[in-house]
Amino acid sequence: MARKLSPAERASEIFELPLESFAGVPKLTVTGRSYAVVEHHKGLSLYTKERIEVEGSRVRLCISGTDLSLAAMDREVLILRGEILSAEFE
Amino acid sequence: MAVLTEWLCASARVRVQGANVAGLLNACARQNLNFRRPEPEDEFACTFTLRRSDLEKAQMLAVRSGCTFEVLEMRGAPVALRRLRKRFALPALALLCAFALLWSFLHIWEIDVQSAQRVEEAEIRAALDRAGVRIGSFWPAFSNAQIQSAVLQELPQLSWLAVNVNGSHATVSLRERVEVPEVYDEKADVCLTASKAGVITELRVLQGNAAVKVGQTVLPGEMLVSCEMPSSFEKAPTRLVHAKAQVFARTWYNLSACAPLERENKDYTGRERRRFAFEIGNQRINLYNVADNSRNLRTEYDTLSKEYRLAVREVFTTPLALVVETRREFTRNTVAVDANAVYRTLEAQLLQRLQQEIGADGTVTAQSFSAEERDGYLYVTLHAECVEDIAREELYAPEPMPPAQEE
Repeated sequence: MARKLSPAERASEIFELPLESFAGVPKLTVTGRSYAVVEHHKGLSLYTKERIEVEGSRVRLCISGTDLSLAAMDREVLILRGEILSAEFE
Repeated sequence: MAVLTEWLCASARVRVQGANVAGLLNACARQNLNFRRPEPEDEFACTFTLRRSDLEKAQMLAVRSGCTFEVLEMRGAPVALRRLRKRFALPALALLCAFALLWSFLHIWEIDVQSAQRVEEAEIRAALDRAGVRIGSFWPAFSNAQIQSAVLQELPQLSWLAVNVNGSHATVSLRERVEVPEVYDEKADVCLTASKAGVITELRVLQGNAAVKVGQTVLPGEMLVSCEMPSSFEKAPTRLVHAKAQVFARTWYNLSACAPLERENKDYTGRERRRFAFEIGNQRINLYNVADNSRNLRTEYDTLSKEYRLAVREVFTTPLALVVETRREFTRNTVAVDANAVYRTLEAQLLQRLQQEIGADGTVTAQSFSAEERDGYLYVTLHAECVEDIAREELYAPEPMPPAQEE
């Protein structure tokens, strides 16, 4: 059975525009295994060397790895460094 | 760049601890507090770097988040300067060093002189010294024009000289005067005389009056072609011309050369000694016993000196230098030299000398060598018979008229 789309997802399909511009959901870009950029975040909920949890509007992004650290953070963007092992959405 | 900015602006390394460390970081990000290098210790503690100006705001946010806030370290140039405010000796020393460097920068501590072919470097250095260009002189007072006129007056072999100073290092550039070639006067009254003794074999007179014949023996200085041309008309005066001729003659040479049959060799014993000295301007402070220079009769030393100047190449030079002398011990040994090799060398030298003597037009018609060993030397003699042009130009000097006799 097909998943029911949210209004924001439907709007992004109709107007052929990126989803994050409608829904404000976090956008994760991972470069290799050591660099990740999270856009449209809503803040951190956990910050340790092994696990970093980033709040989105309706999701929580959990990044696990070793020697993780924040390279930079502002209201919109968050840059992570370290050896990334997995990224999960909760 | 970020490290430099962090150092230039005062920054603080802080440690926060509490249940909501992540919340504090979020709050800092929301308030645009630029925190850097956050390092989590565990789930409840983290250290990060902040600008000193953001410290108060961050402390307030930490209180709101229920975290403890501790400043671990203050860093950056403003903090270092504040610390130095009470230490007078250090800035004074830095100032003194700066003055010493400036003073050193305004004086000459190294002089490089471009080499010249006809003037010794020592002569140029002595002339420069008298003109005021010496180790320790104040270079802003230099006037290139004055130095140039003083040195060029003293050394007429030079045509141009300039002193370029680059960070206490003076480079003396120079140009040597080009010798004015002797002007060949085609209209001068010139006779041809014999430059060497010989027997005339060929006479080609283009201008002038031949004074010798083929087969005649001539001595050096004897007239070969006269410039006096008697007129065919009676009572007409004698005409003087520039004599031109080729006068070939058989000449004989006995040239000798000698060379020793033994050679002294240096045998390095492998023992090396190093000694040190300091140079401050022109003053040398030896860090060794000068009386140690005495050597025993059998052993001698080769001394290699290397100077390490306290300087930054092309930027500045200081008067301080460390001189390292390495003395390599050796003994002298006499070794016999191959007599045949010496003979061949001398033979070649003699032939070269002979070719120089007879010139490009001359030819060697017969030659033989004789060799003799005497007192540890090999003497080689070249006996040669040649044909060459022996004519030499000589300015005409009329014979003085005898005084008129009164009747």
